[in-house]
Formats: sequence, structure tokens, C-alpha cells
Amino acid sequence: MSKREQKRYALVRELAPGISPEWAEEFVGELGTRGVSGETVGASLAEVESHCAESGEPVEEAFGPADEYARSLELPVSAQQSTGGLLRVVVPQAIQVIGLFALISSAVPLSDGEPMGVTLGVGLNAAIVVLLILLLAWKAGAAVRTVARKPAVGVAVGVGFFAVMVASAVALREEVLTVSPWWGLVLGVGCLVLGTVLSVLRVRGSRESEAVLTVPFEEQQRQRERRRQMRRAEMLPVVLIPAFAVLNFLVLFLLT
Amino acid sequence: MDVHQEWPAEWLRGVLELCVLRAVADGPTYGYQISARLEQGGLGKVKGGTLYPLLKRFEAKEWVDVDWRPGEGGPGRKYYVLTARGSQRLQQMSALWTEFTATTAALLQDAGPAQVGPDEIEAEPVEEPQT
Repeated sequence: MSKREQKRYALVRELAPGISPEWAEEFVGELGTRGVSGETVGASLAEVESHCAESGEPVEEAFGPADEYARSLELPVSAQQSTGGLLRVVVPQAIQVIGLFALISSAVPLSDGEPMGVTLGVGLNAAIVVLLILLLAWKAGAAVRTVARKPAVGVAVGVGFFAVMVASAVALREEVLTVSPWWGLVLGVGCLVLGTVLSVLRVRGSRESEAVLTVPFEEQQRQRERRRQMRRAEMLPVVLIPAFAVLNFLVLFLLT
Repeated sequence: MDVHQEWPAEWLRGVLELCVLRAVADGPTYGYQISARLEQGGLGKVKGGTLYPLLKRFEAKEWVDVDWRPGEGGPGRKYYVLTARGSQRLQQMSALWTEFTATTAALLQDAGPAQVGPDEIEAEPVEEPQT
């Protein structure tokens, strides 16, 4: 097994060393994209390993293909992965994205002392981004499964989305609104602060991430470590969006 | 010859829920033990891919309670215990199954083996069970 594969299968090899890591990885991946909590996935994986240890059968023989077995269990979607749970994640991030657009758009007009014009293309793009975020929250599981199975579809949709955004910004330059750039600054900072505060409160308030994979009788120390890693990963986009917005604002404001 | 491997798959699908409930009724037990119990009882080998989704449905319907206990040197074991609701289901289905088998037995007796000679029966291959 190559180093890359060893790294890829490290977690499932640690949690279920008695069964094929490829099978275990596919099983965990299938249930993960279906929004099943890490604790439930881990318990199901442990039960598979336990059965194989007792019966001496290879996992593929006893349980068949990993994805089919995962689907046959009909495990419930975790509360954090339900539509309500996802909305609590994406709405603050959508607010942050609106703030990012507004803050960056206000930088040049503020620097030049001119009014800020909002074009039809920019307005349309903001609406498309918000709609896309809400759509992804609604059909997150299906979207993740499609991209996981057919990465080319994900790339094609991403490129197409970017092309539409650029074309819309370039082609629809008609100004639909002209406001003082201070409004853009206030809206941008306000949305960024509100979105960031809501996201930080959500991450800190959640008792623990349900996405963390755990198995029964595992060392508590290892579980805590993985939970800390997951929390850091959840916090990353929350901090990156305002940081990116402020950095862009400063560069545009100071260089023009 | 292991005749139990030859039960038609459709029959097994129909009776598996009842047999697993009965195996769980004997006391706290775990997946592999249930599978072994069914095999010893003559039902044939029930694979994990068939048994555990069924047990998961039992859990969802609250027919069983579950409890993880440390295994002997290996991974932990998930034990299943029949609840009052599960016990009620077992009783209902057992009574119904007994009635059903009596009905089919009576029907088969009515048909009578004398009406069709053994030489006249076309040998049909028995479908392998998917369990």
C-alpha cells in the first residue's frame, strides 16, 4: 500500500483494523454523504468488524458491496445534517458572502470619493450566490453524493457557474442603483460581523460535531483529539471569509 | 448433505424476521450468535449483509434494546434484548405463522401426492437463497 493510500485509510485502519480498509472507507464515505452521524457510522462499522472477527469471514463475503450494505441499513440523518441544521450553517455564511461583496465593491468608490454604482450583473450574481447556497443546503446530500461519484460533474458545474458569474458581471453593466460608498461599507462590515458572530456562536454552542467518527470503547483521548480537529476545520471558513474581504478592501482602497 | 442451504430464498425472506425475533427472545445476544443459532436451527447461513439491516429495523421499531459490551480480546459486541413491544410482535407473528403453516399443510394434503406420480414431476432447479 502506497503512502498516499496509507494516509487515506489511516482513520478506518485505526478504528476497524480487522476488516479491509477499502471496504471500510467506502462504507464510511457512503454513510457520510448521506448525513449519518459519526457515532452511528462508527457503531455500524464496529458491528461489521465484530461479526467478521467472530465468523472469520472476509467482510466482502459476509456483507457484500460496502455501498449497498450502507444503504440497506437505512440509518437516520443526524440533526446537524438535517435541512434545519444545514440552514443554521449556511445562512450565516450567506450573510458573510453578501458582506464580502458589499465591502469589496465599496473600496474603489471610497478611495476615489465617488458614488458607488451597483450594476445589474453584480446584483444578479449576489442573488445567484444566495440562491445556490440555499439550494445546496436543501439538497446537500444529493449534491455531495453526485460530486463524490462523478467529480467531472462537480468540476463542470463549478466552471459553468463561474462562467455565468463573469459573463453576467461583464455583460450586464447597466447601473441599477447608485448609492454613497459609505452604505456599501456599512452594509459590508455589518453583514460580515453579523455572519461571523452567528457562525462562531454556532460552532462554539454545538456540544460536539456529529460528523466526528467514533467507535465504541475507543480511547477518549483520541476522540477528543478528532473533535478538536473537526472544530478547527469548521472554524476555518468562518474566519477566512472576513479576512479575505478585509484584505481585498485594504488592497483596493490603498492602491487606487 | 446440508439440505438447509436449499430453502427457497422467498420463503427465507418471509420467515427471517420471525426467526430472528425468536433468537433474540432467548436473552441478550449479538449478531454473530443469532446467525449461528439460525444456522444450527436448520435455516441455513444468514449473511451479515442480510441480518444486520433487519436488526437495525428492529431497533427503529423499538422491538429490541441494544447494549455495547467489550468483546473477548477483539472489538466490542452489540447485544440485543427483546423489548415488551418486540415480545408482543413475536407472539402475534408466531401465532399467525402457525396458522399459516397449518393452512398450507392442509392445502398440500388436499392436493394429495397420489394425484401426480413422482415420474410426472418435472425437476425444477431450486433457487439458491440470497441470505
